Amino acid sequence: MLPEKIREVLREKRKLTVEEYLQLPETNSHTELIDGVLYVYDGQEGNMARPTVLHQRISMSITLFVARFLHNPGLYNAPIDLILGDNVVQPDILWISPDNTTCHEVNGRLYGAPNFVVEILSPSTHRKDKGAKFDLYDEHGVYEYWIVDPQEQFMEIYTRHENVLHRQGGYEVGKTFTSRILNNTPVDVSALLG
Amino acid sequence: MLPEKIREALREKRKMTADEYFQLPETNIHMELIAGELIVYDGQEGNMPAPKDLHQKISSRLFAFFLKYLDTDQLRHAPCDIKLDSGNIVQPDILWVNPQNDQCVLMDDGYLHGAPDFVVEILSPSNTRRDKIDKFYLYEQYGVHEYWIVNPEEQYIEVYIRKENTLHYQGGYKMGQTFVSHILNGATVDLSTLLG
Repeated sequence: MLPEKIREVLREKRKLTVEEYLQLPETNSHTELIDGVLYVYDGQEGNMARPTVLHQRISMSITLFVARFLHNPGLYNAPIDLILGDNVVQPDILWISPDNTTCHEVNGRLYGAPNFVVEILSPSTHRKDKGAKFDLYDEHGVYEYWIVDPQEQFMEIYTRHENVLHRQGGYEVGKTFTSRILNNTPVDVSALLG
Repeated sequence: MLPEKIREALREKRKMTADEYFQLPETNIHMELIAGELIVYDGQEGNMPAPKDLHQKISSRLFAFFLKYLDTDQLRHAPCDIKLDSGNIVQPDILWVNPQNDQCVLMDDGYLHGAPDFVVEILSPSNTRRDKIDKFYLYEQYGVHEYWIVNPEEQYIEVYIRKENTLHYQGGYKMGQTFVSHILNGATVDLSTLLG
């Protein structure tokens, strides 16, 4: 059950600062703060939908796959607060390399861009993942960004070149692509989304 | 009603060349040839759905908006065949060819060959992947300068612009936001008026 304080903010559609967001009571529901607006993904009372089984299954297969290549600790699953400027996002999967200088842990929260972010789309989050959150990851220096569409079974890969995220390509089930963040390992989309 | 020859090609799932595609009987139905595969959007017998009213409404609004900035004679809406190579013929929802462009030309067969400068695709739930992967790749490879992917249900637009050999993601824009379009001579595009 969502704490009353959070429900109150939603009801009043009150804009929050990062400090106010971090003072909200603890919850396991997926929440984000984008441009001061609080989003709660619990499927209640006009809020965003909760993650589905499909969403969570794909999240798990991607996590297990990338964990073979990425140094742990440093790999996290949602919900974990990531503070980027005046925004707080909870990427589905993120990774911070051992030599990362932009992302720091302070009081149990992450501040600044991780190296790698994966967002798994729900029908209701398309716009955010390709809009506001893309801009944040681009501006703050994420190095590789995967946007996964579980329904349509494809993924788009963005990698950083000369300080901006460039579209490396879109790949569907049956295709293979090379991931820079995974040391140029070929990634078989069928193994992740099939 | 789809001509029998086209229904036959679909039934047999036969791969075809651009030449064979152009010899198919005439139809007003939206069709494409992607990597030799014939795709028909008429909503019949397991084909892709025909465009819904929302799709067509947004298409009309965009077209009317573009007329303010782009030369009418060079602007087209679907269905208009664009031959990109011997295995790929696309029918973008809206396209524009710069008169100075020599990569997209009207050939003796009466069709445009080569990539237009500007392409807009309006998503339907069933064609997201095709617009974002197969056609994206073709537009990138063949030199489209600006590519808009419009999502009418979710009310946002993704804009890609050419940087050297790739289509670079300019940004995703939702209702209430505006963006500057290079191909529209730096015009400011207000999402609310187009998709609201």
